[in-house]
Amino acid sequence: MKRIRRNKAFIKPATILIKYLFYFVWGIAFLMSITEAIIYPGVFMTNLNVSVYPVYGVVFFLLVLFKVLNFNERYTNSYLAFSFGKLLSLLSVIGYLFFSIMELLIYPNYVFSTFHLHPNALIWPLGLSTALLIVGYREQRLIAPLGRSKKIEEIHDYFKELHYISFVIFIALIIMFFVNTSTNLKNFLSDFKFMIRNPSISMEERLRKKVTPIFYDYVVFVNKYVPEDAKILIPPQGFPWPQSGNYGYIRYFIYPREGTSGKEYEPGIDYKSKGISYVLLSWGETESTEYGYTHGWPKFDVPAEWVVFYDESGRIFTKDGDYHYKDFVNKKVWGVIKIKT
Amino acid sequence: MQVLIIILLICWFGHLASSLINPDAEMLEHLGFSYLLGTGLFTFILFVLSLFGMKITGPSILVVAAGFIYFLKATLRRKRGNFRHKFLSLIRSFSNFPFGEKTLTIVIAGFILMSLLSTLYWPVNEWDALALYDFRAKVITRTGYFVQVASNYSYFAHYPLLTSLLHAIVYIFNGHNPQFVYSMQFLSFVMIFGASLRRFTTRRASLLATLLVVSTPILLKHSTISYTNLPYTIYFVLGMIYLFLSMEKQKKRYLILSGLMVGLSTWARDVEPFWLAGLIVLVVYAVWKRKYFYPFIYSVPFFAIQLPWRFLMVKFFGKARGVANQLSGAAVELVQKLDPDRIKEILSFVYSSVIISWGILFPIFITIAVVSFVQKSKAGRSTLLLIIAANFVILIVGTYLFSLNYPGWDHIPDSARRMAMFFSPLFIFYIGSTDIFARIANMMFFRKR
Repeated sequence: MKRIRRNKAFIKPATILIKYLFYFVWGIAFLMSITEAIIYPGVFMTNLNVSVYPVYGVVFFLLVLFKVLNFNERYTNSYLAFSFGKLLSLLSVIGYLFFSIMELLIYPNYVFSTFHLHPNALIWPLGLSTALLIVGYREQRLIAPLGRSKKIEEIHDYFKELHYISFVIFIALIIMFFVNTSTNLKNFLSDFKFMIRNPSISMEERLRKKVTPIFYDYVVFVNKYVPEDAKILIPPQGFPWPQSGNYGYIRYFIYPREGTSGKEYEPGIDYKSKGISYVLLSWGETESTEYGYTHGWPKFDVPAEWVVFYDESGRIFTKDGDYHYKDFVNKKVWGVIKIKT
Repeated sequence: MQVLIIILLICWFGHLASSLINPDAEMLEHLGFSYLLGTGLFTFILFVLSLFGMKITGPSILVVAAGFIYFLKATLRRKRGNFRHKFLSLIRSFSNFPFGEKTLTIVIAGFILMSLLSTLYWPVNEWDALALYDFRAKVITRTGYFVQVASNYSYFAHYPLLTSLLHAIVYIFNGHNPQFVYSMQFLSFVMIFGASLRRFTTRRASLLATLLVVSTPILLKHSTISYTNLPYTIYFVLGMIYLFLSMEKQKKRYLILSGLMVGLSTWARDVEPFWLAGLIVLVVYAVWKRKYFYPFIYSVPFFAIQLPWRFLMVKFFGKARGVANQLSGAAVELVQKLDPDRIKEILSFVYSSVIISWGILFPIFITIAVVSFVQKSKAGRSTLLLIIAANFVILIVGTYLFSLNYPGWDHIPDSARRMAMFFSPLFIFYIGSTDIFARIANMMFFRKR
């Protein structure tokens, strides 16, 4: 009996202390979360070398500790926390919903450029206000009867057994479904528009749309002029040849022909010893470049039997004899070179 | 037409396998497992037989399918008419659903239809699918072999063969576009998810949770592309769910099914170490509940699926790809190279690349878990929370170890996001199993109970 009384004597002041400590840390954490949402996430780390996450962690730790100590809700009256938490969490949920959807529907970074607010960072004020709500949690009715209107009474009946936490989570789930549906529409809309406009085009035409016509038409051309048992020298891997220069990628389209990567200004291998009988002639698939590469390849002469190539208008040309790079400088053409045996 | 026939045969095989392992399953689970177990186990069997020199052709596939169907039918000695009766009563029960639940079911079906239309229309076109998974299918279709020709190609044998063999089966039987297999996997997953969640909650709550899963953007998107991430996610999530079920319901057959599903997840992708989480949780549970044989029941089907591919990897790439070697190497690295600064970087990377991508789902999950814990409800003490936590620890530790060996580890946030795709359905399953969610479902349908 004495032991129980001693424990009870300890719990009450400890619970109250933890509660006020929670409010103090929560206040700091909430201000920090709002600041990061307005300025930018990581502002405290950059300027003060202080991470916000330990502060959030302390808040949630104190929340759990408080709830464990105050499990029968006898020692503190947290109605203020409950009411304030209710208001803040509603505002946070609505704010998160509003700005996230705006971001998805208009363009990425719209919210920041217009309101100077990071919508993703609003998750933390939302979480913190929910924590405040939980501290002050009671078995509360969300909507008290507002008079004798039958409709109000009906609505009240539906919410009669609903806890406020359930309602907040319900709103959050609605937001989640709405945001997900918006994302799904963005992911699928353009594809479905194409499908409706072109219901019966061939599988090849569909693949051509997806891998880009420039590249697809090129590999069809290559397959037309290169026999199936041949080995081909392909451009080096990198823009402007992200597809024709990527062996793992282009092999899918030229299989069972095989490929080996060359260098920009030289073959990089011995044709004969590697069994290479053809060389790709490629301007490139993209405007952008990397690693210092420039458009047009190969940038070296190739002893050849013939060169067959086409320009942007699709006209096909044939040239007998060796391939001289100087004849193709700055020419936007794609083709195949047959190496002299 | 030929493709349809072989897929139906594979589903029949899967249905018999499912009946053998889990005879008391609901019809939706049976249908889902028919496809998932059928395609997973059948492609695995083809792989094992091809290791012994069998050429993968149309006739050999038919013989293997027919042989295993005959064997399983003989083993089961099932009564006729049982499946048809169960299937018809499923249709009848749907027609008796209230309007709200019928609407939910139709909306769920709408998402699946969206996925299926996309996969029937668009051919394989994603980068990795063309560079590896579908390319291997082309080689297998043309040559009839994989192991025997793998050394002829670079970047060829680095991932298991589940998806490539599925593609090859479609091509061998004169199909032009194998992408529909992913929509079918998604449909099967959704059916099993809803049916297994139904054990813990009301029908309307399980339908609502299923709607949340089917509308999750990353899952829906991956059901329309030929990557291995969705099959991996599906098998792994179901493995974790049935692991949870085995601990809740104390049924060993769920343990076998769990081991099989997690094993099949490694048959889709074997790079991720999350299979460890199930074993760790099970060992802890076994010691706590004194069910010491549980890890063995789980391990047998799991390692039976995982080890043959690992054996091949050791043969191709050396001992470093072996399971024991990787585990011991990881443990040593973790102890020797523990760096608090790197841990901070990892946590920051995981937060910005993975947790942010979960959106509002993660805070909902945390809130419900905390509230359930505080209220001392059953959900607050759920072993599913332990399973999720174990996987989260593996995510952090795995990313840390990866960062030690690959300089550009933090330049592939997309890859991290895909790797952690399985957390979303696990969060939703947990949320769906709680009383809070059941109350929300009632409220949405304007029901008091």
